Amino acid sequence: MNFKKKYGWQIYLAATFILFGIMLSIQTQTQNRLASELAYQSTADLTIMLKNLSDKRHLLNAEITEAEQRLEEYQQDYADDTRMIEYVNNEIKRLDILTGQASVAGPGIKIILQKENLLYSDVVGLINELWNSGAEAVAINNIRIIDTTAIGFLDALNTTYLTCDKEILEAPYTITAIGNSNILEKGLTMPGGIVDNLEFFKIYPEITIEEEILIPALAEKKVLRYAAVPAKEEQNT
Amino acid sequence: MVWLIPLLGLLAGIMFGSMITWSIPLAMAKYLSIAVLAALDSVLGGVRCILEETFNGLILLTGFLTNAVFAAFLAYLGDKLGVDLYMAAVFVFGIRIFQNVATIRHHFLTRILNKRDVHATPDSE
Repeated sequence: MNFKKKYGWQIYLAATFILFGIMLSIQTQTQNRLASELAYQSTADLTIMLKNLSDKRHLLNAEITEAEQRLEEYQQDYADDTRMIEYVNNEIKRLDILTGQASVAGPGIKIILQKENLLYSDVVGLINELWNSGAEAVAINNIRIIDTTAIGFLDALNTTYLTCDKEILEAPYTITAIGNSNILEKGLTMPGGIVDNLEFFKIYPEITIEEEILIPALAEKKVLRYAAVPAKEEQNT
Repeated sequence: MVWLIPLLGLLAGIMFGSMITWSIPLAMAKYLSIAVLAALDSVLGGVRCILEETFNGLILLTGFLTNAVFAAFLAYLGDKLGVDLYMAAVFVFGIRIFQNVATIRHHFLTRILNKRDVHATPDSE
């Protein structure tokens, strides 16, 4: 009884204080959480945050636009490069065919000539006529003929040999040409044409139209030792 | 010295409150704050009663709890009715807290001054 009288109020007050302390700290924590919650921020703070964020958004948007532009440029460049490379490759292929660097296949005609009564000039005439009729590649005995090929002859041991670039050709001679086979054939056999003329010398070329003719590339790559593009012209190109 | 046990209780309450991880929903924060205000008023009222020697522990405890709960409920009701009863509670409790603090200060001051007088009297004589 004495104890209760002496300490009673302290115990009650302590109990109240304990409860109050708990409430106080919970409320402090809640308030801290509120401070970081967006919905409970003051309008001024929110306005500043909004402004900062929209500034950042504008910057990022500008960056995106720039990056997209650059990407487009790169893609354009790449496409240009690709087109250029493709063009150059096609040009190289075309030039390889023209200069005999590459073997060619395609429709055309085949002419077989016997050795009797044949002069090298007749062969030259025939080949000229083929070029004339639009032949795109010509070969004799599977030797590619290009712009600088020389057809000639060689006298040895009482025999005349036909030569192509100083190489002896064996009879019968086979001339193959790729092009529009009908035009090629007509070019040779037209009335008063080269075949008619050859008949006077009892030369009878055997002409057949072929669907697929294969003409090999030059055996040796042709090297230009003297000819070069003039300096002035090179600057222009 | 006589205040040590209640102060320790306050410290223990704060420590215990900061240790528990349970947290109330943010929407209830407003009601808890007004409850805390009511609780503070009750506690200060209790201290004043001790100094006035009219203290009753049960009245303090029940007053503490009912005041806190009722203050929170009043704030909630005000929200539901669209009346700022919250502000009324803050106003009333604020005034009472200041009054209580003023009374407590007054009591302490008179006690200290009286003690000094008791000691001073023999010396001056």
